Amino acid sequence: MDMPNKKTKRDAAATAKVEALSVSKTFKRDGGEEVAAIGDISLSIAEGEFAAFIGPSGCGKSTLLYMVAGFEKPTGGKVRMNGHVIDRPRPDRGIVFQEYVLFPWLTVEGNIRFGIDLQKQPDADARVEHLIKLVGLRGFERAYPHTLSGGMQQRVAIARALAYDPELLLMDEPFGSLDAQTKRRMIKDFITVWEETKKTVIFVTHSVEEALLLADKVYLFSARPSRIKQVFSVDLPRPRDISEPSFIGIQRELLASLDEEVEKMMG
Amino acid sequence: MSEIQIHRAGEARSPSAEFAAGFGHKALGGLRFISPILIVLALWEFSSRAGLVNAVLLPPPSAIFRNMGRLFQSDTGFWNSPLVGHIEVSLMRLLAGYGMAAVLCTALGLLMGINRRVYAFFDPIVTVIMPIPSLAWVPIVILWLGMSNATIIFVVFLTAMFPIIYNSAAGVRSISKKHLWAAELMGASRQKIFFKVLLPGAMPYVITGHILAVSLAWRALVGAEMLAGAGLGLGYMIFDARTFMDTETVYAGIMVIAVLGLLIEKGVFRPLQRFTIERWGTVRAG
Repeated sequence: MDMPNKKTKRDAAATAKVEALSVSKTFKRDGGEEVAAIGDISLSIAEGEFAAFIGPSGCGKSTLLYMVAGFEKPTGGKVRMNGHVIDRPRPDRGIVFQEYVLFPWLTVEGNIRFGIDLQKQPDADARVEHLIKLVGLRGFERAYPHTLSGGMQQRVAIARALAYDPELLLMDEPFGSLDAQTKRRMIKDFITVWEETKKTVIFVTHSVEEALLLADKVYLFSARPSRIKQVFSVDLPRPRDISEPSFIGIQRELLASLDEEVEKMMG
Repeated sequence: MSEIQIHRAGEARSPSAEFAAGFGHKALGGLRFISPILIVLALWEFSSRAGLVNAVLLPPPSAIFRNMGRLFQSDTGFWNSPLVGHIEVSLMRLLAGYGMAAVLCTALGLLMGINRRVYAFFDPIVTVIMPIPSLAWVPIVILWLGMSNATIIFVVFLTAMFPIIYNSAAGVRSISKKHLWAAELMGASRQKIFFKVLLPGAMPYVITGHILAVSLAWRALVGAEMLAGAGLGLGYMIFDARTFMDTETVYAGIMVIAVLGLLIEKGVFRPLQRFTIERWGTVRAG
């Protein structure tokens, strides 16, 4: 676990894409009872880094992602992007939700164009065409989302989030509702997409395997009120082999540490 | 959106094949729809002619249709016939009342969906007034506006109001927070969110509200015309014919009302539904 001291923290600020500084978040339950979801989180994600957030359910990892998006505000502390405090949603970020959240009244192409058209970016047609090819949706340009399988819909959502060329891609359990086979294929294909675009990615997941197949760094959230328990650096070339000893080793370590936290939430 | 095309690429049939299949399917569907009705009419005809039922209270359909034919004639032609006159007046009243409701109440409903305070104010009012049968208003509206067109149009308006308000508001509220977030993150202003997300997202509900409004308004219209028809309209025609025991005209009027109601629903709103929400998969195709 690398908790930076004051000096290196300032140095990190110069190069960090996204930073959380002593972020906390308290929710009010319906009964009025206050729940501290995020206790005290500080982290720094570098430009071009593929970061995965993992932790027990209810630890606030999606909440932190929504703070980076600008959808939610921290109760305490600061979330910064490019050194500026995040005030509201802006198109320098893109998001992919678990439930796809496509616009059902637009075709595949219409969905992907949405952000480009809003910002009146040039070369829309060429960009959309390229993305459709990249995520493997050729021949489906005119289809409406409800006619597509879950995996295909999520490809549309990924293309939509990348289309207007944001600096940062936020993914909230994007493969969480796909079956195991589709998920494996999506991970493989997404690596190809990511290697071409080289965006900074924050990827929230429940799956240790998913996190280790994709991420440069895995941030393990503790039980509520959460903090960053451990950061795992995964220095393995992609595509990664889940049967390789080094992969298995880090997977075992991460799983054990995660299970401890899950245990605490249950108890 | 200019693409009126196929849903699943790769499964596309040639347009002519699609047309032929669609036509055959439609003809079969039409036959299935019409034959039970023909059977009932035949039984009715038989019972009436055989004297099983009172032929004054239940005249045979053939006599009703013959009478309907007469009502569609005049010295100056079809368009000046009494029945066309009544139909014209009824449809005009429907259009006026529903049209006002469509404009005002869609706007109010959408506003209620968008603004929590507007919703908090109007929701209890709508909830209390909505269950009142619109004909209950007729006596008081007659006192306000007299036995006039205005009274009937107002009752039609009252009937059409609530389903439109209620469903338009529900439509906006049905849009998930994440859809709004996604649009916002992609750089949509408030105005763009309204036109590009809220409006199309609410459309399935809005259309449902309008279908309900027109079919309820059509029913209320006929009732209101019976009470305040002022000499014109299908409802008035039926009520008036009753006083002369002219049951053939009463039945002819009822049949015209049935057919027009069906045409409005199937002919106007069904295609609208098919071109929007069924394509989007927001509701399952019937």
